[in-house]
Order: sequence, then C-alpha cells, then structure tokens
Amino acid sequence: MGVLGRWSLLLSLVSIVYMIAASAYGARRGSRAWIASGRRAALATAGLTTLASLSLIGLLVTGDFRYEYVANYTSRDLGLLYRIAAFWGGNQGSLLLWLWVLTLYTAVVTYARYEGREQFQPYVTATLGAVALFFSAVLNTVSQPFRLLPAAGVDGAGLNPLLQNPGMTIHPLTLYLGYIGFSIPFAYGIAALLTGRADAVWLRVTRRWSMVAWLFLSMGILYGARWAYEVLGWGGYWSWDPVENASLMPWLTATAFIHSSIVQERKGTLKVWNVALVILTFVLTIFGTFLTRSGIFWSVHAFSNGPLGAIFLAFVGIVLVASFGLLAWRWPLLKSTAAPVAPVSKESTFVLNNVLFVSMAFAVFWGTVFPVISQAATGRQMVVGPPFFNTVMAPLAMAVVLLMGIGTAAAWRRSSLRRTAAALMTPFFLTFPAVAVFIAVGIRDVAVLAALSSVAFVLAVTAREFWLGTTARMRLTGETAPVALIRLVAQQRRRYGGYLVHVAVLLIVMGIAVSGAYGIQKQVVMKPGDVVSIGPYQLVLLGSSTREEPGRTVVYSQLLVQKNERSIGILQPEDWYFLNGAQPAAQVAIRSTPIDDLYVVMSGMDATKGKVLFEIHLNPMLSWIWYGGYLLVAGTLISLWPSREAFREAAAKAAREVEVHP
Amino acid sequence: MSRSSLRGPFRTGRAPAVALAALLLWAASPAGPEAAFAQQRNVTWQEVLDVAAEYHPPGCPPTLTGATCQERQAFDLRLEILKLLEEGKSRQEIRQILVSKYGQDILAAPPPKGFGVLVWAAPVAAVAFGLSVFFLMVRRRRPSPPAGG
Repeated sequence: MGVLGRWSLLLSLVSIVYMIAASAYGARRGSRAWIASGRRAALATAGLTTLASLSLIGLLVTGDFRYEYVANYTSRDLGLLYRIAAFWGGNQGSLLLWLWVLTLYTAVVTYARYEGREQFQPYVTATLGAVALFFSAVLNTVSQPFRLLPAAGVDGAGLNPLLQNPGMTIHPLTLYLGYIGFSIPFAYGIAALLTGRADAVWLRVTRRWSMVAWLFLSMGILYGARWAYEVLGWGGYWSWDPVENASLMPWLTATAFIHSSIVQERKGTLKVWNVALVILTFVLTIFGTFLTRSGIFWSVHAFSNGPLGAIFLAFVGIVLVASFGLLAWRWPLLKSTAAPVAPVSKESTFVLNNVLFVSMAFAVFWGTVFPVISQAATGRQMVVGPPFFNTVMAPLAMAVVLLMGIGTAAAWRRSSLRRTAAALMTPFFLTFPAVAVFIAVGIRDVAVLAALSSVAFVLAVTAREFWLGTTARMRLTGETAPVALIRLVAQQRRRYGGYLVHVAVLLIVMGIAVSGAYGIQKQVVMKPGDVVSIGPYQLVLLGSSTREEPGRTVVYSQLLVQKNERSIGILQPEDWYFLNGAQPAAQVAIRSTPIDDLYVVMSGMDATKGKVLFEIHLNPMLSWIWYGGYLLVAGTLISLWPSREAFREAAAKAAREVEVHP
Repeated sequence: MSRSSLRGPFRTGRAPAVALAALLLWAASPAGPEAAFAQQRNVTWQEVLDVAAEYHPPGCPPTLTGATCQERQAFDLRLEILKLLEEGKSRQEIRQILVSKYGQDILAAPPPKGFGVLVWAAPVAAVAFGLSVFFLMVRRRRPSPPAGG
C-alpha cells in the first residue's frame, strides 16, 4: 500500500508539471487541444493524490508500523476515528491533505462551467498547478509521508493526547478546507491579471468559493477556540498564540475582500485593491503554515520541523514578488474608470471597513513577528503578549461594529448625510433603553458598556432592515408577517444571509466583551464536604477517586453544584495520567448555560489527606460566542444557497451549450 | 495554553503516585493563595489577576500572562502582586517595583519606550495611513455622470 502511495505521489509531480505546461502553452497559443490536455492532466493529478492519500489512510488504519509516519502518530490502542485523524495529526500527512484537497478543488474548477470560462480556465488551472507543484515537491523531498523506518516498529508513539478530542479532529480539517479554498479566488485573480479581464467577472465566478472558504476558516477558528477552552484548561479560548494569529490574519483580509468585492461588482471600482486583497489572503494562508512549521515562534501548535519553515518562507516570498509584480505590470489596465466613491454612501463605509480589517490584520501580523524582529535588531527577544493585542484590537473591532451599523443603513452611490442619519435615528434612540438595562444588571465597566451599546445599536439597525423589508412585502402582497419575513429572506438570500452573519458577529462580540470583563476565577483547596461559592453557585466536594482505563489512570473528583440552596447538577473534573509517560492532561468539567459557564479544573490532589486543589472559573455569557458561531454558519449558508433563478439559468445555459456543441 | 501549563505547579510525574509528590511541591510552594488570602479582605483576588494580566512571569509561555499561566513562577508572581496590593501600592508603583526587580522582560507587552515604541507605533501608523487614503479617495469628487457598475 505504501509503495502505491509513494509512486502516486511521485507521479503527481510529473502530472502537475504537465498540467501547468500544457495549460500555459495552450493558453498562449490559443490551442484548444493543449488546453483540453491540461484539463485531463488536472483530473489525473486529482486521481493520483487521491490514491496517495487513501494509501496513507490505509497504512494508518491498518497500523503498519514499518512506516515512520504511522509509528510517529498512531499506536495500537488508538481508535479508528483517531487513526484517520492522524492523517492530519503530523507534518507530512497534513501537507498531503493540503495537496489532495487542492488538486480536488483544481479538478472541480477546471471542469466547472461559467461565464468567461474559455479565457480563464487554462490560466486558473496553471496557477493552481503552480501552487500544487510546491506542495508536491515538498512532499517528494523534505517531508515524505511514505518513508520507511530502518527497522519496523512494534507499536507507535500514539497521537498527542490533547488532539484526542472529537472537536480536535474537525478543527484542523475545517481550517485546511478554508486555507486551501482561498487558492481558488487567488488563481482567478491571477488569471484576471494575465488575461487582462479584471472586470467583475472573476469576482462573480469566485464569490461562492470565497464564501465557502471563509465559512470553513471561520468554523476552523471557532472550533479551535472551543477546543482550547474545553481542553487546555486555563479558562480562556484565545491567547494570541502565533498559530491562532495565523488563522485570524487571512480571515481578516478575506472578510475585507468579501465586502470590497461587492463594491466592485456594483460600482466597477477597487479593481486593483480586490486583486491585492486576494493575493494577500492567499499569501497569509501559506504564511500561517510557515508560522506553524518553522519553530521560530513559540506556540502550542509548534510542530517545528527543520528546513520546512525556511522553504515555506521562500515560497511566500516568491508568491508575493510574482503576484505583486504581475499586479504592477497590469496596473494601467486596472485603473478605475468608474466614478469615485462618494463620502456618504454604502461603498465608502465598505472602503473604511477595508481600512479597519487590513489594519487589524497588520496589527496581528506585527505583534506576532515583533519578537523575532526585536531579537534581530536588539539581540533581546521582547515578549508581545495579550496586553498588546487586546489594547490594539479592541478599539478597531469596536469601530468595525459601529461601521457595520452605519454601512447597513447607508444607501449605495450618493447618499446624503441627512438621509443616512434619519435611517439611524430610531436605532440610535432604541439604544438608550438597552444601555439602561445593561446598567441595571450591574455592568459598570465603561469599555464593556460602550461595546454592548454599539452591539445594541447595530442590532437595532439590522432589525430595522428586516422590519422595513417585511412590512413592504406585507403591503404589496398581503402576506402575513412570518410568511413575508421568510419569503423576504428567501428571495434576497445574499443580502439577508449577510445580515444574519452580522448578527452572529454581534453575539460573538457580546460573549467576548462580557466574559472578558466579568469572568471570575478562584483557586481553592477542598476536603470532602467543603463548600466554596463562586458567583451565585455553591460547590460541595463530594469526594475523589481513581479508575483504570486502557492506557491511562484517571483521577476524578465530584462536585455538587447548588444554586439558591437547590442542587442543580454534578461536575466531574478529571486528571488523566498516561501510562506511556506523556504529559498528564486535565479534563475540564463545564456546566454551560446562556447566562454563565461554570468551569472547574482539578489542579492537583493529595490522596493521603483527601485534599484537592481546584481552579474554578465563572465565565458569564461565554457560550454566546458558540451560539454566534452557529448563527454565522446558518447565515453564510443562506447567503450561499443558489436561488431558483440561478438553477434555471444554469440549466438553460447547459441546454444552449448542448445545442451549440452537439 | 501551553501543554505544560496544564498540570499547574504539580507538573511532576507519571502515575497517580504523582499526587503525593504534587502535594509536597504544593506545600512548599505558595499554592492555594486563596487560602493564604482568606484573612485579608481588603484586596480581591480578581484585582490581583487584573494586575497580573499585565505581566509575563519568566519561564511561562509567551502567550500566557500572570493571570492565565499555571506555572510555579506565575503562582509566585500572583502572590507577590497580592502582597504589594495589600501594602496599598498603586498599579504604577507595582510596575516600577516589578520592573526594577525582574527587568523589562516581566512586562507582557513592551513599554512604548526605546525599541518598544515600534510595536505600538506601527499599527497606529497603519490605521492613519489607511484613513488618509480613504479621505483622499472620497475627496477626489468629480462632477461625473452617475457611475456604471
């Protein structure tokens, strides 16, 4: 099986080179035969990488410990799910996954039908081929997944216990699907530059790809945050770790792109900017891999691995120089012919949104690399920790939230200050009672009040949009309110789906602000029968015990949770001591409600005296971050869902094509 | 959120026998500060953590602050901050005391002095640059025909 994998991987290198050459030559010469041959090579490449990936999965599942990768990331006692997850649990496997998904995507876009396909397709295929070539070359040289051990092992080292968590099997996968997805808009952006067709066609074609990639990236980030919260046991979900930052940076630039591409679609302006953003987003996804693999940066995800970091950095450099060189060369062509942006208009708020998102991406980048810069410049590595990121990002994020409200209310083209202000008036006054409620429930922190009132304001602006649309429909059609609301959203999915995503972001902001400012933390030593109170809860230690499980000994405690003198449940934090000597892992016990999360970690115990040290957190409204995540997925899906007209149009187009080329 | 931070100051061994060793360490270390803290009620533990969030205990992973790190050094630092707060020291005074004792590296973000200015100035410059581009863009108004889009 391993031999099949190794050979498929090697052949993929050949077929990728052929795919690039045939597509590029065909495009230059206008030769349909060569272009078609390039297309077939894309299909062949996808087949080869699929074979390679399936054989690696096969080796992992059957536990063939002759192979280094299998021995490094699995063990005999590992369940099937985690054996499959080991595919992306290590360096070589995750790079192979990257190549596999990329070549599958390439095959899909190569054969997809869309407006302007004739011109774009060979360039898109060649560009994606160039990216795939890099990964395939790395996999065939410095990072080989099918390397044999000098002597076959009896058992493997096993998967990192921290990764043995159901959420953790999905987090890297969604993140990768997001990262790799941005190759597609990147390839179309490059194709637009090469063909000279930088109008909005490439944006229309790639809109769904960008949104899907954005959705996966968002899910990957949220899953990661949730995993950190539930597994790492320090009571938080985000610590500005370099690898967390690596996923946030492309998310920020992609969010900017999703908004600015709408401006180009509607107004024909921001052509250069959109191409630049899509290049930047793609480069940041590769840079993220560099951060993870280089070992230069301290990280919880550090899989530091020799030369891989340098190779990725070189690739980032090449992509940057080549893409921006191309952009500079095509500059004259891209000069905007459209009317400039009016100061008060939806498009101006979108441009401002881009300024903020890109500034945030830069601030994250800067804070992440600064330790290395300071080391190089002064010889002393400075710590740039959460205080920096929180101080810089909080005001920018607040500005983004406010702008979300103004941008929603402002009209396209030239709006007037008075009209926009009039649209914002009701939401503005609705914010006051909301602020009164916040103060009444005891929120006094000025920054939190500001954040929450901004959120309330934007919620009101968004609700007004739904209200106006629904009432207008009711007047026109005589539908009842719920029917009108559902049909309104169904008919303008892109717009109202987008608003739902906005609401999701507002929920997330509320969760972050309130849990950040009003979280409580306690450390207590308890004997059985001891009571500790935190917030409105009392926790009674019932007792502690141990049990044996395959591969580990589990020490656990049981705490009775009471509120208003009523028992409401039992929390059972555990400590896992692995028999193979791996770092012990705490299993956090969480009682999550919309109001607050009770979060208990067992930090240590003395079995002889029956004393246990607990770390207890009360995190108000933290779960709103996850609720926001669910809504974000729903809103994006609504926004992505093709309309019935689009289906009809596609069918008609296919029919016409059949007529032309019978 | 380091792997090593998981086991707090009791990051010692392999099997549950660890519990004993853990307690020895624990008895010797200032752990259970909440207990030590029980007598003093003029400072809340939350205040200690708020202050500790600005510092980076030596030896802790770079992304964890004095408020989140679970290494021994972080426990020591929190207790030190607790004492200083009880003595009625202000945040500013605590900062001076800790910096003179441990050096600049105790700060979780560089102070805006010397080379550290750069880390703070660059994002501000980025926003300023972006905003000026924005204003140039919207000011360049021509009496043009309505845009085609």
